[in-house]
Amino acid sequence: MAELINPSPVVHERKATRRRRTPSHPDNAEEREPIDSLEVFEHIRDITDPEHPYTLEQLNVVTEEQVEVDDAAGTVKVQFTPTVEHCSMATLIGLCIRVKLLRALPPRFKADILLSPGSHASEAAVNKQLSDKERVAAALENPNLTQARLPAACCCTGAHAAACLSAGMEDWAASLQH
Amino acid sequence: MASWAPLLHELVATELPERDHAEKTQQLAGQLRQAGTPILRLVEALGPFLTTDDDPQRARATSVLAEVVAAVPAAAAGEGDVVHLSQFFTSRLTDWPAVRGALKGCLALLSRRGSAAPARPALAEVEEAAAVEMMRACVSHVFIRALAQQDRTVALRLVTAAMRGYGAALLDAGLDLFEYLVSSVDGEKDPRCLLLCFEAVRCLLALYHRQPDTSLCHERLEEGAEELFEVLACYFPVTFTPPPNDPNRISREDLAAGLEAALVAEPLFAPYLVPLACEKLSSTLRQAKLDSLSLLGACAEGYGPAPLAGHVSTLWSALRPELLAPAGEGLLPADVPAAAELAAAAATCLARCVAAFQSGGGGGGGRGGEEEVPAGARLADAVLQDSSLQDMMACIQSPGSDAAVHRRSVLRAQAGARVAEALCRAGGATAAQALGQLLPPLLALAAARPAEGSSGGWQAQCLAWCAVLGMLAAAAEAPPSAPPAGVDGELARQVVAAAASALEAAAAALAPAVGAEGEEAEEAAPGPSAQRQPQAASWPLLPGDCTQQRAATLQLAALAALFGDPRQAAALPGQDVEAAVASVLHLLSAPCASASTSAQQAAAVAPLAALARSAHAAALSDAALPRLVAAAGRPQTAAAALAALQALAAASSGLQLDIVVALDQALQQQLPAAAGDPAGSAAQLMQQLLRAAAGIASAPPAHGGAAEPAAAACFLQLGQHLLDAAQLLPAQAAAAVGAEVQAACGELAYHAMRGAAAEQQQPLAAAAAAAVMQRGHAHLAAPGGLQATVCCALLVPLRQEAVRGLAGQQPAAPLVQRLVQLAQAQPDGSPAGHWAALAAAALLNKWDPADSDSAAACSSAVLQRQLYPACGLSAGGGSDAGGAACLPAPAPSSWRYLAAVGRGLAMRGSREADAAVGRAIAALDAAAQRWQAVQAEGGGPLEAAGSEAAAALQQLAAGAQAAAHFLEAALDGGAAGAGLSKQSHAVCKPLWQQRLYTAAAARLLPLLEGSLRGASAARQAAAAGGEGAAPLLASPVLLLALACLLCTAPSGVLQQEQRRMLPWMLQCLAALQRGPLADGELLLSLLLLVSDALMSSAGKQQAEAELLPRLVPALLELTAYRPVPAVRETALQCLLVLVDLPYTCLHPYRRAVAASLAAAVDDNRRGVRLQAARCRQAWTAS
Repeated sequence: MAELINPSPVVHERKATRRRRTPSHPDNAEEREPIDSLEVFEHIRDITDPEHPYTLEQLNVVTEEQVEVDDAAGTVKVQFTPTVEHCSMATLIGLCIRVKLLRALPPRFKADILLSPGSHASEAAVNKQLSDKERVAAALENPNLTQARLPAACCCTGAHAAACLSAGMEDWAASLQH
Repeated sequence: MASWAPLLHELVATELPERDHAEKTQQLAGQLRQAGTPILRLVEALGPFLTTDDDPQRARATSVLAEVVAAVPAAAAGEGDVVHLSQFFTSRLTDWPAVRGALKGCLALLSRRGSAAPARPALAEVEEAAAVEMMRACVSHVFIRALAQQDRTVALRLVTAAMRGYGAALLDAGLDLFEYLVSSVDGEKDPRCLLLCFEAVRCLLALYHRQPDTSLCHERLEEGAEELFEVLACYFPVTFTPPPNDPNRISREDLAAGLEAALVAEPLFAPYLVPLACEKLSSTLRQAKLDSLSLLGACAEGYGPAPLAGHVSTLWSALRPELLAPAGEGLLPADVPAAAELAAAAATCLARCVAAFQSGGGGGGGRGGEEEVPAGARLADAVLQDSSLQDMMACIQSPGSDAAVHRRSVLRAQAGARVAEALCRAGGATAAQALGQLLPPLLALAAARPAEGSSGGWQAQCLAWCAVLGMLAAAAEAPPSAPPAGVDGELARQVVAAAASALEAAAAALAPAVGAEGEEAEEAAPGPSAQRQPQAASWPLLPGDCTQQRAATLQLAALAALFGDPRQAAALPGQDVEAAVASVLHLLSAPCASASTSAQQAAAVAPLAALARSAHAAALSDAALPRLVAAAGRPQTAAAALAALQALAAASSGLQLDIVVALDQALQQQLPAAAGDPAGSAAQLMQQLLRAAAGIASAPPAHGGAAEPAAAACFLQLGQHLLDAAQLLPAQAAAAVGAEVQAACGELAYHAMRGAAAEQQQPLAAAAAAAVMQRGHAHLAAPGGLQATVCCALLVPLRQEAVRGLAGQQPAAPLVQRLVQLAQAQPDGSPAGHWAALAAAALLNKWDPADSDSAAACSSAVLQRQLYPACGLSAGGGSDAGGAACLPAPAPSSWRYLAAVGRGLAMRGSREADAAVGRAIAALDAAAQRWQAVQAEGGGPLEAAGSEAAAALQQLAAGAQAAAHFLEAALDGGAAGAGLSKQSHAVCKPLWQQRLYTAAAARLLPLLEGSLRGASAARQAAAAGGEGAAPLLASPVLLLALACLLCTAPSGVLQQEQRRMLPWMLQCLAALQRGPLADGELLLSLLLLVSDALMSSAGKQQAEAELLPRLVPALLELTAYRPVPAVRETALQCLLVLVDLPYTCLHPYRRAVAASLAAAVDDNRRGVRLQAARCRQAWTAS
C-alpha cells in the first residue's frame, strides 16, 4: 500500500453545537426557520475523510465558521481546509462536499465550494476543478461519492486511485497523479 | 452391543466438523448419563482406538474420553477410576498428537477439587501425588505457547485449576510454576487466552503469598517479579477493538480490568509500575491517561503505603499537571471540558491514593502496612504545601475585574479547589487537616464585604463560597469506611455562622430591590428539592455572574451540604442550627421580586430539606413551620414558602403531618376570601395552596411503616375540612369560585381521600353522598358549584368496601342518577361536571359484585334515560340507522360523560359498555350515510358543495367527531393523574381494553367494508359515465372512528392486528387530510403507528407485497401536509424506512419521491428539511 499523505493527522472532538436563537413559537406552524450555516454544517460534518476513519469535522477540514449561507438569495459558500497543504485528496473532499450539498439543499441553491485561502499548494487549480461542471456531473455518477463515504482503496494515490475512480473519472484520476 | 456404540464409532473413526463433533459428543454423554454406564465400559469400547498408531484416531479417542469424563462426572466417581484415568491422561500429556484430549481430561479431573457442587459430593478426587505427577508432566512436556488457541485455553485453565486445588503440594514438590507461567503468558495475543493468563497470574501470586514467610517462594517472587512485570506490562495500556459480531463478547474494558487486577496483585511490582504509569500518564492519548490514573489508584489501594513510600513525590508530580491542566496557559475553550474530565479522573486517583495510604491497609492481607511508614501523611503534606493551593487563595482574593483576567483566575482557583476536594474526599485525618488548613482563610475571604454600592465586589465572596461548598460536599462524599474525622465541630460552626450572617445580609438587601424591580416574576415558582444544586456548584466564569444572589445561593448550597452529612449535622450545636434556619427563613419570607430571587429561594429549600432528614428536625417544626405557613398565606411569598413546605413534607414524615394540618387551616381561612374575589390575588393564592396540598397528598409514602396510616388519617381530615368549608360557603359565593380553584379543590379532595382505609373513607363518603342527594339541590346544581366538585371528587377514589358500606346507608342507584344529572347540568368543560361523571362511573364500577342485577339495572337506566338521549342516540335501540334521531349530537361534554361511565363499566366487564360502543358506532354509521347523502345533494365532492350543504356537513362533522372521540376516551388506557384507575381502587378486569377494542372493531369493520364496496360501485358508475376516477375510499366518518380506535388500542393488540389494519390505516391517512373531519393530531398518531408497523419485518413484507401503490402516494401527500409540521416529518421518516425494501419494487416510485423530496428540502421547518435531506440521500443512494 502506498504511503498516506498525512500519516498522523490531529484529531479533534466532535463539537456540541447549539443554536443561539430560541425556536419560534410552536403555534405558528408555518413561520420559516431560515437555512443557516449550522444547518448546512450538519449536512457536511459527518462526511468521512478519504484517508482516515475520521469525519471532516474531526479533522477540522470543515468548521461551522467556514460556512456562509444566504437563504433568501439561495447561495451557500463552504470553505474547507485540508490537513496538509500538498493534499492530493483536496479535490476529492471538495467534490464529496458538493455532492452532499447537491442532495441535501433545495435546487434553488448555488453552492460555492472553495479551499480556505492559503491552505493548499495548488489552491487555484483545485478551486477551478471543483467548479468544473463536467467533473461534478461525473462525480454524481460515482456511487462512492454519492454516499459521501469512500472505500479504503481510495486511501491511495497513484494506480489505486485511477483504478477506483471509474465511471468517467479517469481524466481526473490522471490529474491526481501529477 | 450398547446403543451408544455406533455413535462412539462415528465420533472416533471419522473426522467431523467442529460443530457436529460437539453435538454428537453431547448426545453420547446424554445417553451414557441416562444409562448410568460406568466409564470402564466406554474405555473398553474405545480400547483399540486409544492405543492405535493412527495419530488422528488416537487423538479423537482421547478427546472423546476426556469430554465424557467432563460431561458425565458420575461415570468416573470411584477412586479406582480416577487413579486409572489420571495415569492415562498424564501419560498422554507426553503424546503430542493427543495432547488436546489429555489436557481436557486432566482439567476435568483436577477441577473436581474446590469446585465440587454439593449435589455431587460422592465424586472421588485426584490424589495430591497424582496431581503433582500430572503437572510435572505438563510443565516438562506441554509448551503452551506452541499450542493452538483452543488448546492454550484448556492448558491455562488446567494450570489455574491445579494451582487452586493443589497449589501447596505442587510447590512442595519443587515444581517451578512461576517460570512455567511466565513462559506461557509471554507474547500471548489472543484476547480469550489473555483473560485466562491474567487470572492465572493472579492465582499464582495469591498462592505464593499464602506460603509461610520461611518458604523459598518469597525469594522466588522477589527474584522473578521484574520478569513477570515485563511480561505483563507490555499490554499496558490495553488497545483492543473487538471484531464485529464477536461471539465471545470480550471488550477492551474486560481486558483492561483483567490486566489491572493482575498488576495490582503483587506489591513487588511497585518500583516498575509507578514509573510505567507515570510515563503513560504523560501521553497525549486520552484512554492511556485514564487507564494510568485508574491503575495508580488501584495499585495504591492494592499495595498499601509501604511499597509506594518511595514513590510519593513521583506520584504527586505525575498527578499535579493533570489536576492543573484545565487552568493551563493557551488552552482553547473548546478543550476545557476534556481537560476537566481528565482532571476529575486525576482527582479521583489522588483521593484513592490518599485514602488507601492513610487507612494503612493494603491488598493481600496488609502485607505492606505493617511498617509504620507515613506515606499518606507525606503525600497529603506534599499536596497541602503545593503552590496550587496558595495560588487558589491568591486568585480568590483578587480575581481581577477584567473579564479575561477573571476567567483565568477562576480556572486557576477551580484547579486548586479540585486538589483540595480530592483531599477532603479521602476522608479521615487528611480531610480534617485539609479543611483545618484551608477553610479558615476561605471563610475570612468570604466574610469580606464589598464596599457599599460597588457592583463588582462579590467576586471574592462567590469564589470563596464555591471552594467551601466543593470541599464540604467532597468531605460528605468520603467513604463510610474512612475514619469519621471530617469537619470538626468548631469549623462547622464557623461555616454555619458565616453563611447565616451572609444570608441575613442578602435577605436584607432584597427588601429595597423589591420596590425597585416591582412584581415581574411571580410565575417563576421555584421547583422543589435540590435539583438546582449542581448549577449552584458551578464556578462563575464571568465577573457579571458574581452577585450577592449568587453568593447567597452558594451559601445555601454549602449549608445543605453540611446539613446533609449526618456526622457533621449531628456535631452542630442547636443554637447555631436555629440561627442558620432563621436566616434561611428570612430569605424565604422575603417577597419574590425577580427571577434571581426566586432562584435563590429555590436554593433555600435544599438546606431545610437536608435538615429535616437530620437529627435537627425538631428545630424545624418549632421554629420554621409557623413562619413558613405564615409566609404561605401572603401572596408575595406564597410560592417559595409552599415549595419549601412541599420539600420538607417529602423529606420527613413527622413534619408532613404538621404541614398538612397547617395547610388545612390556611385553606379554610382563605376559602371565603377566594370565593369573594374570583379573579383576584386571593383566588390565585388559594390555587397555590390547593396545588401544594394536593402535591403533598399525591406523593407516594416514602417512609412507609407506621407513618402511613397516620398520614392517611391526616389527609382524610383535610378532605373533611374542605368539604365542610365548601358547604359553609354561601350559594352565590360558591358559584363564583373560578374554574381553576374548583379544579384544584377537586384534585385535592381526590388525593386526600385516596390513601385512607375503607372504614375511614366511609363516614366522609356518606357525608358527601348525602350532600349530593339532599342538601341544597338548588346550589349544587348551580353552574360551576364548588360544593359539587368537592363532593363528587371525594366519591371517586373510594375503596370497594367503602362503596358497599355507602350503599347500605344511601341507595346507590338514585345517587348515580343524581350524579349524572349533576354532570349534565354543568356548563361545558366545568370541573364539577368532570368529577360528577367520574364519581358516577366509579360507583358503577365498584358496585358490589354480589348484587349484579341491580348494577345492571342502574347502569341501564342511567344510559338509556340520561346519557343516550343527551348524545342524540335514540332510546329504543340503534337499529334504525339512517333516521335523523340516531345521528350523533354535537355535544362533546355529553359524549365525554358517556365515555367516563362506559369506561367504568368496561373495566368491570359489564355488557352495557359493549352496548354503548355499539350505539355509538351505529350513530356513526348513520352519520356516514347522511354524509354521503348530503354530498350527493350538494353535487359532488366537498370542495364543490354549496354553502347550505357545507353547513350541514360541518354540523354532521362536529357530531361525528364527538362520537369518534368517545371511542378514544372510553378505551384510553393511560388515565394519568386523577381518574378511574388502579390507583383509585377501581375494579380493573384483566384485558378489558382488548375486549372493548375487539367489540368495537367487530362492529366497525363490516360497516367499513360495506362503505368501501359502495364507493367501488360508485366509481365504476362514474367511470362508465366518462368521469375521472376518484380515489377509492371508505366513508370518512367511519374512517375517523377507526383512527380514534386504533390510536388508543393496546400495543399488543395492534401488533397482532397489524396485517389486517395496515390497509385501513392507509385509508384513514388519505381520508383525514382534508375536509371538515381533518385532524392533524390524529394523523400524527396514525403515522407513528404506520412507521412502527413498517419497521417490523412483517410490516415490510406486507408493504412490499401489497401496500406500496397506496402507501407511497399517501406518504408523499403527507410530506406536504401544511397544518402540522410533525406530520410532514413523520411521513418522511416512514419514507426513509421504506428504503430497506428491494430496489425493484421501489423503482416505479423513485421519480415521484424525488419530486416530493425536492420540495420538502425547502420546507419552512428545519426539522422537516433535515429529515428530507436524509431521506433524499437514502433514496438516491439505494
